[in-house]
Amino acid sequence: MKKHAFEFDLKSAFPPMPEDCKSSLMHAVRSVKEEEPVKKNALRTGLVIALILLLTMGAALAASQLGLIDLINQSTNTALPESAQNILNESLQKTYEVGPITLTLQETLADGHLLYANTLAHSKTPAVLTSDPSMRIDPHLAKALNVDEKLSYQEAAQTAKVPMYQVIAWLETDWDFRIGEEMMDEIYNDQGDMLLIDLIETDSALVPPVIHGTLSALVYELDPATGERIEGKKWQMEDPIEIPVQGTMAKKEYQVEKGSMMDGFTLESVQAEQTCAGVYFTLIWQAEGELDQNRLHAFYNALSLQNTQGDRLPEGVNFSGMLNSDQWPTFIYGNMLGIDHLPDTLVIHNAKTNEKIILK
Amino acid sequence: MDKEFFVSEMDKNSGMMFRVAYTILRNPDDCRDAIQEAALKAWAKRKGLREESRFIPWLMRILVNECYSLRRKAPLHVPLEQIPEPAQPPPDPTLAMALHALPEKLRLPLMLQYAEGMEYKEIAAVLHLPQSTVRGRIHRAKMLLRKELEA
Repeated sequence: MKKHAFEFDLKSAFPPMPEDCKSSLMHAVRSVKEEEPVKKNALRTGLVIALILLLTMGAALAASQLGLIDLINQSTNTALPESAQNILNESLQKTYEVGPITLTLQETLADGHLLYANTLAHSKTPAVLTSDPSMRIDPHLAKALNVDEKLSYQEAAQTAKVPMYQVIAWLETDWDFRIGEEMMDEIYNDQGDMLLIDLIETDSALVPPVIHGTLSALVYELDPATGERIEGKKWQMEDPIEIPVQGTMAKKEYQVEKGSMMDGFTLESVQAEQTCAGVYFTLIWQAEGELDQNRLHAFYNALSLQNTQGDRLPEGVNFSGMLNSDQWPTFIYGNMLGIDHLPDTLVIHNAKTNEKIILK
Repeated sequence: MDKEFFVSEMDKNSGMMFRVAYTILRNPDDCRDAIQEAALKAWAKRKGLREESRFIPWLMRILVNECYSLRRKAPLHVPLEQIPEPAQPPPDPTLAMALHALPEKLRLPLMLQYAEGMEYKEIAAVLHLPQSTVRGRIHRAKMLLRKELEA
């Protein structure tokens, strides 16, 4: 490891490693066997588990069922191809009773670049379901409880005189094919049900044909007076699940005329890959001179992909673009769009300079 | 990788493991659990390590992932009085407060470079991020840390 110069000695910002931590580590490490499976020492935490597993196919939990399409509809100009919706509709649904909460794994989708799962949380009696009691209440939940939208979840539970539960659900998988950052979010319906969303980026070169994961969930009852967890009121579940990875449907390399330039950058190549979730575009550019991060980010923000009518193509379900300048002066602009076919003609538009590059 | 190498490297790098875990978890008891679990997972996955020279970034990636997994199961808001205090305080408490005031997205790559001497490429591999993202975050982290300490 190289020594990097910085005026502060960051190691001095940390306490020394506690002795019990070091001895616990070395005890575990010395106990490993060369070939046998490893048994671990008992860890500190003891958990209360109350789980009744119900396996159902296509169980509809609430009158108005939430899904990815509802999250999409919250964003302007974001779309979900019909192929993706069909796969989501056909997802194996599983329902679990986790203490006072019924959890249903509703939709799963993997296309090689992303892995998506959502879980619906439903309380059998009126209650506040939340991941963070201090945040402002969701308008749908406020409507369901008939409370002011300006309240926090905790205040809403106090006002409505209902119990409050912290619900956390996520997908555990092998980390080897995961890249970037995970997005977790929640939305509500008018009955007060909470949809927990987990969206993970994956490396299409490393992801297996079937992803083996574990759906994990925790439910805590919180005291509406304090927002703190009530001792002894904790439930959890874990269940292995399999999600098949849908492969690439089509690919296209657009014809880029030599010397195509935009705002001082030269476009080298444009490739598109269609999956069930949308189309992933990769634009490779060439720059000159030193890297200017501000200029590069301004360029990224000014770019959009359009159809021949000048309409911006809708964003896709991964909700994010990509800018990679690791190989400067070459840099890569990536974006995933919610369209269900590879465009015959693609228009790259720069909103700052009003330049266009039209590709077939 | 044989057991002798594994034990020796774990012993040599235990301090680094603690600092990385502490950056994410801030709780010495959770750090102990995450470090132990990560060590056992690293041994179980040892065939995935192609070159012994890559051991440290490879191990740190496993540890960071283990810390994130453990943190999901931990309370989101723990009253300050319930966080166990380390047996010994850090040598520079002012720097400690300023560092831990940074958002974790910035704090972690900064300490991996300047406390642990990792290169951008190695940090990018640990955090599954492009190097350019790592570079940008470290740049912002340094600016914010200086501003925090000047205040």
